[in-house]
Amino acid sequence: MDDILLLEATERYMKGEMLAQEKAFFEDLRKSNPEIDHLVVEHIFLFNELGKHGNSRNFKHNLIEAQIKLTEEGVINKSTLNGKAKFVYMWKKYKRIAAVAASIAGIVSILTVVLAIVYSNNKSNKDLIQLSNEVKSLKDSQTATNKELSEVKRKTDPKAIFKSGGTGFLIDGKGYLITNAHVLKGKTIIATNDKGQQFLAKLCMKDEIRDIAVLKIDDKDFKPYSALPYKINNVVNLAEPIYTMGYPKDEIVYGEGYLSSETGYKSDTLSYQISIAADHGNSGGPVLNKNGDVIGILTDKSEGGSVFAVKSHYIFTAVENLKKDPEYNNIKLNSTNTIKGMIREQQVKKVNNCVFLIRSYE
Amino acid sequence: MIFIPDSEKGNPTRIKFIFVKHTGLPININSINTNRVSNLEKENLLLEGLALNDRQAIETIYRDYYAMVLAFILHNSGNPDEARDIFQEAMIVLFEKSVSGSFVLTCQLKTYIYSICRRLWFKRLQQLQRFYISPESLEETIPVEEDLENHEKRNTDFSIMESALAKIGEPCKGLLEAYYIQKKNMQEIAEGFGYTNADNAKTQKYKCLMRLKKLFFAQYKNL
Repeated sequence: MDDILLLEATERYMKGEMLAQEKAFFEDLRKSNPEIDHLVVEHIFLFNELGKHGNSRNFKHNLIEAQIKLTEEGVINKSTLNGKAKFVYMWKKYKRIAAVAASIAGIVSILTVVLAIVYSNNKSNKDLIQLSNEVKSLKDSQTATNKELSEVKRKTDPKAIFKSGGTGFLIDGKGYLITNAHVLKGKTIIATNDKGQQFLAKLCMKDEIRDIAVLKIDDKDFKPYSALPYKINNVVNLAEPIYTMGYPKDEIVYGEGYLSSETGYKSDTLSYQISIAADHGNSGGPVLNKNGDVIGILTDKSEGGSVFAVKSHYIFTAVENLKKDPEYNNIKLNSTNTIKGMIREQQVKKVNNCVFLIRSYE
Repeated sequence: MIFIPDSEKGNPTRIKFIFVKHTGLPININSINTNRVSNLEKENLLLEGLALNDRQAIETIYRDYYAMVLAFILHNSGNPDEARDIFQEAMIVLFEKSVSGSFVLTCQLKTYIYSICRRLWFKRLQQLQRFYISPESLEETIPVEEDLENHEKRNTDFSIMESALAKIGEPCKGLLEAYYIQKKNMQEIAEGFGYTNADNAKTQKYKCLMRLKKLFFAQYKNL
């Protein structure tokens, strides 16, 4: 009951209907009693909300009435449109259907033209000419295939026995390849690039201790590279990310890992220990750091699964030694890296055609 | 209050004229000579009329700006019914803004309505998950995010009050609506609802208010 009295008082207070004396009393009551004050605040809020609610509702009511009136007058068009608006609306709505219809019409008209040509009188002549052309091109491609086949036969003698294989990579665009010595157990060496083209290669030098060999592609089909994407670098950091590319199967395989140790098997100082997925056939492949610099040649795998790489330092020594031979004194190591800063996929694309599948035959 | 451009402030007769126009009487916008009253004044008069829930003002805004909004919605994969809904919502935003009393038009009314409708429509399209690319607007627009947030808040308040009113049941609902929304006096209400006198009806009204208060705050505080 008190609540109701207070509610009534609040409403009168808000409307300014209180007499001065009553108003003073009411305000004193609010000041002295925080609970009542809080109730009054709540009531005022409720009255305000109710007032706003009433206003909104009346406005919405008015709005809808106005809308109905204006629709009747035609100011608001409910569902019929005219003039430009109608055109735009129809166009938006039906443009997809129109597009389909137009393309069907297009196809039909093209078919009609084609049929007309096919059934016209001079067709036989045309067909004959076409046929003869086709026969000619078939003949051409046949001879080309034969030629290629005979070349392949020449490169890999059917009687040759496969001895060993691995990977090699270019260190000089003129056709100098580096690989592991243990990859080359046979005398005839064939290098195959990522496109499947085969080239004969000859052995320039072989260092069994360091497991390094340099080959030179000696084949008239080989076109020298103007530049190589990577350079050889002998600065390494423990734990740096590395990657390799090689031919454990007939297609090139990419693998990545990190440099685990600056020494190799049982602290062998000729090589690094790396952690990477590698298999037979990866031997002789390049080990590159994140910039795309060659830091080693992948060699072998211990029983524990660790992989080792010959330090790139020995590539420099091997090349220096080779230069003393007058036949090979034109060998020059690439000194610029053009793939630094590229994302890995792009680096790999560039390195791809510098890595070769190496096979040796007896 | 009416927004008066600075240049007009020194002119008391003009101010008085506007005040007279607004003391409860419906404003006849069409009677105002547009040559004499600047565009800005006319637009502020419209808003003033809107705040007073004046039919003439509502209709004038429809006549002047509906076609623009319709064209915009049709150009952006909408249909005429959707245009009507969007415009209606924009009108409510405009009403709330003009009632709040703090509304000062900082741009043309046209720009304001266009901005509101554009924002409302793109939001609707997103909700419908219809494909659309928000194109760079050719028309000038102004940021209206804050106004629309207030509008959403008002919408929530409105529906809370609506559901509280629905829950108190009859005759309370009818009684409160008659007094606070239809603004009838207690004598009329007592007669309409069959109370013997206005005081009894008044007592009942306050009982109903207490129930409304409980229901309203129960939901309001849960927000």
